[in-house]
Amino acid sequence: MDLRFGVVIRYIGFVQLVLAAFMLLSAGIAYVSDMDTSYSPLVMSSLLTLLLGCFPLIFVPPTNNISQKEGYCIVVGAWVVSSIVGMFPYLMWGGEFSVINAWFESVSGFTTTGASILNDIEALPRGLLFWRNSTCWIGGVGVIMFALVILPSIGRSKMMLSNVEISSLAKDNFNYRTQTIVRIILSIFVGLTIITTFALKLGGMCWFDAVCHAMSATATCGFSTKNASIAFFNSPLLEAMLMTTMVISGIHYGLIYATFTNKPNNIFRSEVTRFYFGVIIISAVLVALSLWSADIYPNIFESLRYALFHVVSLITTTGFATADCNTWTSFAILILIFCSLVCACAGSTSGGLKIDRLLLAIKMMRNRLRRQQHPAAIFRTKIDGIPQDKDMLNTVMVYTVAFMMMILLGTFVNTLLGADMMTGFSSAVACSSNVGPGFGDVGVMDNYSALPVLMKANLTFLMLLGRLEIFGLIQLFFIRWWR
Amino acid sequence: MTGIRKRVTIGFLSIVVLLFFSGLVSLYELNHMSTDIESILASNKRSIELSETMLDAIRANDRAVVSYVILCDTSYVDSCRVTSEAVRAKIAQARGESNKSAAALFDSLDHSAMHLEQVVEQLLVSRAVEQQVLSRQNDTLVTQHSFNSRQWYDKVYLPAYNVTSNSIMQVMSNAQTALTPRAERLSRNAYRAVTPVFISLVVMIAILLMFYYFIVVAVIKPIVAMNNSLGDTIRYRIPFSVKAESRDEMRELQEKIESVVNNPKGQK
Repeated sequence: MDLRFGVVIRYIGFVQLVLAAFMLLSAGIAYVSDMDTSYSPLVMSSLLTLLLGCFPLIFVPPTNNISQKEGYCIVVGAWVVSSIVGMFPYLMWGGEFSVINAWFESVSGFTTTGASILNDIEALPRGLLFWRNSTCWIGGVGVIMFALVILPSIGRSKMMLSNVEISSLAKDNFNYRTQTIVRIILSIFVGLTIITTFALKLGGMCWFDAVCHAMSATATCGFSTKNASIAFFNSPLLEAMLMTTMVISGIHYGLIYATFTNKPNNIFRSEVTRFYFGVIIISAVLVALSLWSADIYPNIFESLRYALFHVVSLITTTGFATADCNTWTSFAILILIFCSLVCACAGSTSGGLKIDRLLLAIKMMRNRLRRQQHPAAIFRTKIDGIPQDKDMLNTVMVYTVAFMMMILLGTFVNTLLGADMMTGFSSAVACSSNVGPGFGDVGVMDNYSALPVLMKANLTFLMLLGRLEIFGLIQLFFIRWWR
Repeated sequence: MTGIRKRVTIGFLSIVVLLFFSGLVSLYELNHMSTDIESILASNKRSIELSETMLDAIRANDRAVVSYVILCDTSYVDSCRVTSEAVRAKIAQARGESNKSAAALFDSLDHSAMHLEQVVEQLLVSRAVEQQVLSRQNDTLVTQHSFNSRQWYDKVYLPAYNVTSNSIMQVMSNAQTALTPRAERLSRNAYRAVTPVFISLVVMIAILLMFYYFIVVAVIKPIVAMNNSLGDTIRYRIPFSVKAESRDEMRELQEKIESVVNNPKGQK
């Protein structure tokens, strides 16, 4: 079937209507916050987005039959158009937002990266802060997944879009119908946000901060309302609450649903989840020991507190901070970069390589060694005792290589544009994996504002590539030859 | 939405709404800016006017003092006193119209003006006493004073005069400086006035492109297809066959053409 451009625009339009609704909600926040300066930019942006979203609905009739090609175009198009539309409130408000800065902040939000160009976050009015966190929340659940709920058409259209949205590895783990997948993702996402909001409020945050941080933690984004991020609150209780949300958000949503509904394939039986917890614990202990031995913190408990929070924050691609880890030991920084590369489970809102792929790669390497020892033997790579398809294993390896190449190329471009080695590499990792903060000049207590314009553009491209699992975006350029 | 006319009307209305909206926003922002500019200019003009009246008053005082002390014109005695009082009055008026941030500068100006007034008053009193003594002694050499008038003017009056006039200049420059943040705010407002219009234009271009695409798909392509098919039917007697996917006037037209062209064949 030929690509129907009109159908693609129609569904992208639906997503814009969701954005318009959130802009209006943010304007409401601005209104109740003594009509702050973001009120009129948000109302104006909302009207423009509404018009942009409604226009295709007038001309294109609804359809239930969406091809895979159209599904890809809708997902990628929606992400790019949402990022452009997301700039409107920032640009109209002004302040630190130049065109490239607004684009960076918007892409960072929708891809749940959480990297910021803002030197003074606290100078932003409440309405705009809420919009900033809304972008990451919408991005977290997936722009398309969100729009599917309001789409009147059902059945095949949902299937095709979900194929793109949920990474192929995660889809293999899902044993539900697509409609159920949408319901699972939304109910877990909204439920987790509400629970976290109440928990943070009880922990001592004001309602506004609690909602914003809950949205950010659930979406594994890392946008905070404070310049010092979570370090501002200096509360172990709040840190523990946020860590819990981040860890849960990093687990396969289907497994979370299965655990709550007492299904046999739950979190505790999943090999991937056990491996994920193992990596977190080992990384945190290693970082804590390194910090303790270097006398950065007075005792092992203090070291463990900061180490665990940062390991969880980076492995789940959130990017919250309680300390300036730029000043930590090289060993600790290397472990944190490893966490930023590997990231959490497939089927969660986190980005990066995904821990499932790491587990599969380790098992494939082990099988390769065993095959060299026993050439006649047949070894199958299994997850949870289930042998994995060769095509899938092949895809995992191809994706891993592509991911590494993306980071390498990103680093090349960054260093070419004047960044030092650490800043260039860590920013490429942080943006490709949708983590947010890196090391060097883009550390957790710094921001991306001082980087050159071209480097910011390069990093936003990496964010989109990472979020759409590389091939999702690349295939758009070859859509004409796609059969 | 089925009819082409309805869709085209709504499409045009969307563009009109967008144009109206962007125009309205820019008008509102420009009106805001214009009010701000007028207010800044008015404040600026008023501060200059007030400074000028204060400077004029102090210069009038200087002229009176020079006429009385240096040129020994006794008719300027009252003028010296009146102009001194006028300086204080003009300062009080300027203080009344200034904002609170300039209070410290006005205190300083008041102090220097008071000093100047005292200097003039002391001169007038001492000269009056001197005049009385001289008239009692019946001395005809009125012009020979017991004090050096030129020296008094240079050493006593002129420093006090300079301090006061400098204070006035300071008040004036402070009033100008106080306008800077407002001017900066104005530049931000100018950005805000331009950005919504710019964004509206971008959105309008996007909508126009979509509109063009939809017109091509919904109107032009079907007409071209029907025209080609009808031409083939007339020339080569090929049955008219155009597949209509939409449910609008184009479909009705296609069905009518099909019935006109193909039905006589069916009847045979």
